[in-house]
Amino acid sequence: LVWQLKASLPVLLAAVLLAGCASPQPAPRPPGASPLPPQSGTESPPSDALPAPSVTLALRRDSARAAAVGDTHRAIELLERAIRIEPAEPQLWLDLAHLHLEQGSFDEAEQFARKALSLAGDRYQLEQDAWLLIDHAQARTSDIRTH
Amino acid sequence: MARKRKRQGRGRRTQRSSLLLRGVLISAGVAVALLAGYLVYLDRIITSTFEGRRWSVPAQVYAQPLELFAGQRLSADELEIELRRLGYVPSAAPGTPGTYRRDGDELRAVLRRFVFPDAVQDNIALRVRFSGSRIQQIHRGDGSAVELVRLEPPIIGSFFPSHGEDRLIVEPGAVPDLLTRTLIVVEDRSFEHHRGFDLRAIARAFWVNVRAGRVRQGGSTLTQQLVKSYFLDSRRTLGRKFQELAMAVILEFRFDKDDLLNAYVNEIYIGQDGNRAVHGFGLASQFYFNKPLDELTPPEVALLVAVIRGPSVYNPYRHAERARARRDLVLNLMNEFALIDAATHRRALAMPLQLAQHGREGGRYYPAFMDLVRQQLARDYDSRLLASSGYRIFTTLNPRIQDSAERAVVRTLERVESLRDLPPGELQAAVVVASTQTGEVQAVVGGRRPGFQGFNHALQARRAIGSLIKPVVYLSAIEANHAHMASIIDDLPVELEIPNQATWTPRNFDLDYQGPVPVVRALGDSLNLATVRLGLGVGVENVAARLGGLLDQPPPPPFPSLLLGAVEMTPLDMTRLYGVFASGGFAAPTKAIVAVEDQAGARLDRYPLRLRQVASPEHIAAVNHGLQIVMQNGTGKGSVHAGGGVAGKTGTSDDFRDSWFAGFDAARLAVVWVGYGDGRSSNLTGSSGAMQVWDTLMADLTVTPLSLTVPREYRMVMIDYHEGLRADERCGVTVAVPLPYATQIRSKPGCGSVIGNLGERVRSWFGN
Repeated sequence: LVWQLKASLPVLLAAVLLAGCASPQPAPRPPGASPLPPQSGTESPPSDALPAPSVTLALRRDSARAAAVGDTHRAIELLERAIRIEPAEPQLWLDLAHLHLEQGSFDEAEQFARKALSLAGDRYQLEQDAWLLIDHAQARTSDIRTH
Repeated sequence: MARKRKRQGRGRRTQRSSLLLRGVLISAGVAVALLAGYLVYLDRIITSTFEGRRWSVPAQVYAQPLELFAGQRLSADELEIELRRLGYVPSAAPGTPGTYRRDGDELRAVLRRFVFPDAVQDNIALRVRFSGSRIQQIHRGDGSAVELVRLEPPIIGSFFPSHGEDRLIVEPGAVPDLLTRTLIVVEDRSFEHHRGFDLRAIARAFWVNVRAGRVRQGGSTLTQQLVKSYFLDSRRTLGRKFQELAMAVILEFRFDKDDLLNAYVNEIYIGQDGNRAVHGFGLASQFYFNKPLDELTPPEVALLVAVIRGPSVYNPYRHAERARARRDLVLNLMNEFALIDAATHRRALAMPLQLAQHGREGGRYYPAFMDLVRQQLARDYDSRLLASSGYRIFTTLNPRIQDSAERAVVRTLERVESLRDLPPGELQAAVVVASTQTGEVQAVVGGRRPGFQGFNHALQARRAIGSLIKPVVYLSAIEANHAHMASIIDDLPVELEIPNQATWTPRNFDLDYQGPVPVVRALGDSLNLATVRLGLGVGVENVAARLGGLLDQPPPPPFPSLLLGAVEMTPLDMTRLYGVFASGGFAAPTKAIVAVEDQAGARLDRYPLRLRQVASPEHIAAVNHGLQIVMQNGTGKGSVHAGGGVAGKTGTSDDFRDSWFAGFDAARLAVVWVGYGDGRSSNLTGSSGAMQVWDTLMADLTVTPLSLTVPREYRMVMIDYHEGLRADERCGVTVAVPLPYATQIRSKPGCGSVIGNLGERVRSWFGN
């Protein structure tokens, strides 16, 4: 079951992202996959130091598209660019963890998920997603060790 | 042959003459063979040189591009500075790439196309509106909103080889027509038709030289000049001339005119910059005007063509008048041959030279940062490859932060020296600035003359770290459940018998001792005796192992003096160490490179983000609250940012040899070292030396306050800073520290929390 889930992650992630743009209905979310906040192009810039979420949202979307067509390198580059803009946003680190998981870099995936956890604050759902991902990454690591 | 002679005895004369003929024929044959061999040899040399040089380009190094988006903290002035750094020129109506117009809170610009590692960004016309120190909105020329856009990254250096030739290749399509036509008009009018040499030009030159009685004019074609430039030999001997001529003819025979012209444009020597030789019009355009070749105006094109005749004689920086006179001569020719119209000619003649100003020499814009880049590249690439591969190297350098750091060093050292009566100009300093969450290095200052290559104190100077080690001692104690921020430890004299050595008797900075103090004050006031006692309780081996673990290197020998930082490390090492605290418990490499691409834009290597959790966020948060209190109440309270929500630690080594400061806000970590290169005492403490540099730097960057979380299973408790008892701000100097929930703390007599709470409740009734 776990294996199946991993294989379908990029597809599901892309589906969620693309469906999110097209349909008003929330698509079913796979466990551990990162939801994007609803798109809101008309938002005015916030008064505090944070950039508008739409700034990194666009990069997350591009990253998900690149991942969906198998260009994981570019997907990672785009997310890293987003992280440089908004380094304390845990969702970006969690997205990065997902990409590394898909790439088979389980150790990196776990570390980035831990980074997301450390920045999660009171975002309960994000925390849960991060823990789930850490579980998967560790399971895959021990799979490799035992086989 | 002897036998033949014997048999045919008659006709000696005929024989002799036929022998002579044969001799002549043979020598002629040999001569022809030799000449042919020589030509083949020349052909091999010149063809391989030509082919080889065509792609021999030093690797170019780029800084981090500036991201623009609504809400970004960037003022119109700052954006204008960035555009000027990239050579953008003001224009009444910006329409071509590289131009901009500023009207108060609005800035319009046409950005140049740039191929980033992750995407191509085409030319784009922007209208950016500012509100105070922030970007309010960004629109395209057509009025549509732009979410996110980048300026192209500035080039911060290149890996030119040791013989100093640097160049930037321009493809034939990118060479302005005006430049090629001017070159032909000025240097070689029959270029399109000749076969490598121009007899009429040679005759004319000969006539001029004979009349002048010395060599005044060369009759060289562009092709001959190209050959000459390949072999860097300006001796005008007959043999040389012949060789040059032969090679030029061979080149013309083998390659077509466009290839030769493009090679010329990229090859020709056109200026000197320290030990860097500027070759080719692409680099010359950047060097003299700080912009790409295709953005040059007619007078700028004319100056470059003027300079190639004699880059030192017509050096426009040194001999402005002479260079301008020759530029005007070129402009006159441009007009005479109808390359420019009369009006343009008139305007061009009136233009001053408008050269780019270089604060630095030798293309070494940021030598200390480049050292770090080189160090990290050396693991994967050979230096010869870097000098010739034409790679594009994308780095993490932030030029704005780098400039701030350099200014902070230069200004603060001068100020400190005059304030403390130290000999002027002798103090040294190093600064490393990194992003707190990613560990990417944004700036490196290696010494007090930042623009010059020299000993790199940031990467190479291993100095005693002094009290910078203390957070590791306190972290170890908290992790071992040996202490929390309100635990009481004794700040009392320590004497340690060390086998085969003198007794170790550490002292406090002020040679006094404070008795029982809470942990938070021992850290805040950097009390040595309390720290040693705490560290001995945890175990020196454990602290040494922890230091090694956080730095991902073997632990230092566990001598008790380690607890006070008697271990030598570089400012870069300290950046990695404090990066663990600034990032909430993650170790990250101090990374300077993002990606390396080959000349065709193919990705060779990525240097992705890496990090590893090396301490629990809870324990790190506890120490970070302590480091914030260092700034609010302790040795850092003299900082102008003390109340600004920053965290930091001062460090002073024995006899005031080294003055350290490591501090961070939410966005950036900066580590500063100040001291003398020869290790003598400067009488500066961490706060009177290094922290002053840090203060100036951070003031320039705008501080983003830390939002330290209260770890789970912890609560914030107000305690008295001096005694460690529960208290509130009405009965002494108090600080808020995170303590594990179960911790019981006595209240300060007459200052109980119950009363305090009651009092608050009563006040709140009336307040509402």
